[in-house]
Parts: sequence; structure tokens; C-alpha cells
Amino acid sequence: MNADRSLPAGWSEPELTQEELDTRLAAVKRRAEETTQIWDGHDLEDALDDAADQIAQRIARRSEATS
Amino acid sequence: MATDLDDEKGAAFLNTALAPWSLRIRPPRPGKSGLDAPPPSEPSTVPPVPGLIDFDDFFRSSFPVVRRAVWAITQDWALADDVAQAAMMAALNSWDVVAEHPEPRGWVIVTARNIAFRVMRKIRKARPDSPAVDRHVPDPAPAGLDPTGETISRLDLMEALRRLPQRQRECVFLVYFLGYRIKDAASMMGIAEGTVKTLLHTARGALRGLLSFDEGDIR
Repeated sequence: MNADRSLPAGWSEPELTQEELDTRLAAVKRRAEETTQIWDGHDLEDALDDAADQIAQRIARRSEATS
Repeated sequence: MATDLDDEKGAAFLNTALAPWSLRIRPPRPGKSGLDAPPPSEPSTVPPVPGLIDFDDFFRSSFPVVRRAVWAITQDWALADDVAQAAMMAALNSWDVVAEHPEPRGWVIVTARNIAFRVMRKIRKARPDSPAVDRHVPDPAPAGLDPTGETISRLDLMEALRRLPQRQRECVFLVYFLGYRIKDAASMMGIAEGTVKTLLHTARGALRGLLSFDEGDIR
């Protein structure tokens, strides 16, 4: 694959170390556990919309912090 | 045991969960491949993920790919990180189904791009001037893009790709950088194979124009 095909050198892709991957994995598993019950009450579309809401809010906070 | 979208459980889940979206995985039809298993005579350029049953292994091998696919849409690594994680969380919450999907990584990419578009719509609605919205409109030519230079640097290529319309850029990434077949990219994007081919053709022409030398510059 090209699953492991990298972007060309020189592209500004932030490096992902194994440790960072594991940290993200742990965060995903923790959040999935925390939200399972909420997701049980939603269909997937609603759940993804909630996720999009949270991300949009985080981006707004980041934008405010940097402006 | 692997299953495909004809599997009652998988098909029911995908049809129910993804049907409301215009971009969705469709059940396989004879002779029309989406994310269904490739025919034996036409091996995919995207090999199956080994150890698919284990979510941890899947996450480690697929997260960087999903992140790149989202970046192709958003051009924002922080946003790509967030979206890829949310899509992975969706996969984990439905892992009993996703793990048996013939292309779990494609499932996550489809989910991630839907989240990404939702996020961009929300941002655009709340803050139309935010730099985090999609960048269909090309930025002014960056200083680093110098088609008359002696070589076309990789940075030039990146800048040129950034200036492509989002759908062209996403096609280029899915097919040329991530190695998906045109039919798989079409299925992920919810568009026809012919549309992907057209977008790639148009993208190549645009890149040629952005990166080409004038005849007098060729040495």
C-alpha cells in the first residue's frame, strides 16, 4: 500500500512518533468508553455531528487564542 | 471471518448509518466496485491491513493515512488530527462491524471526510472569515512558487496542490499519494468513477500549468 506511502519529503507533515500514536490511541479509547452510552442513544450521524461540533468549538477557541 | 456489504449485518449498518449522507458507502453491485473486495483478477494497490481484528494495530497503521486524507481536504494538520481521531472513535464504537468490513480503512476515511465537511460547514457558518474553512479559492501565488526556477521543488508541488480545488486535490491524494484505485476513491467520495477520472485529468492539467516551464526556460 500505500498505506505507508509518505508524503513527499519537504512537506510540512508533523511527525507522528510511536509514542504520540499511542497517546492518541489511548485518548480515542478513553473517549470512546466515555461516550458509549451517549452514542447508544444516537444514530451514527448524530454522533458524528456532535463530534464535528466539538472540533469546531476547539478550532474556534484556538483561533481566539492566537488572534 | 471477512464479510462484505452483502452481509446482512454490515449492509444494514452501513445503509442505516450512512444513507442520509450524499457521500456514503453503497452496497456492492455486480461489476461496480466501491469499497467492496476487489476481484481476484485485479488486485488492489492498497493491500489489506494485517491483523485487522485488533483495533490497536489498525489504529497504528491507519491513523497516519486517515490524517493525510483529511489534510488533503482541510490543509490543516491540527484539524486533520482532531477529525482523524473522531473518525477512529466512531470506528471503535462500531468495531464489531467495521473490523469485518472489506476495507475498514476506507470506512474510516469516508467517516473522517464527512466529519471534516461538517466541521468546515460549522466554522464557515460561525466565522466566515476563519482560515480554517476550506480553501477552494486559491491563495495569491506564494513567493515560493517559482515555475521559472531551475527545478520544481517539492515545496512548489505542495503549493501547487494547495491551489487546486478541494475535490481535485482530494482525488490526487487518494489515488496518487495514498494509492487507492479510482473505483475506491470514487466510492469514498460518493462520486462516479468517471468523475474521479475527470477530476484527475483536470488536476494534472492544472498542475502542469502551475509547474511548467516556458519553452525558453527549458535548458
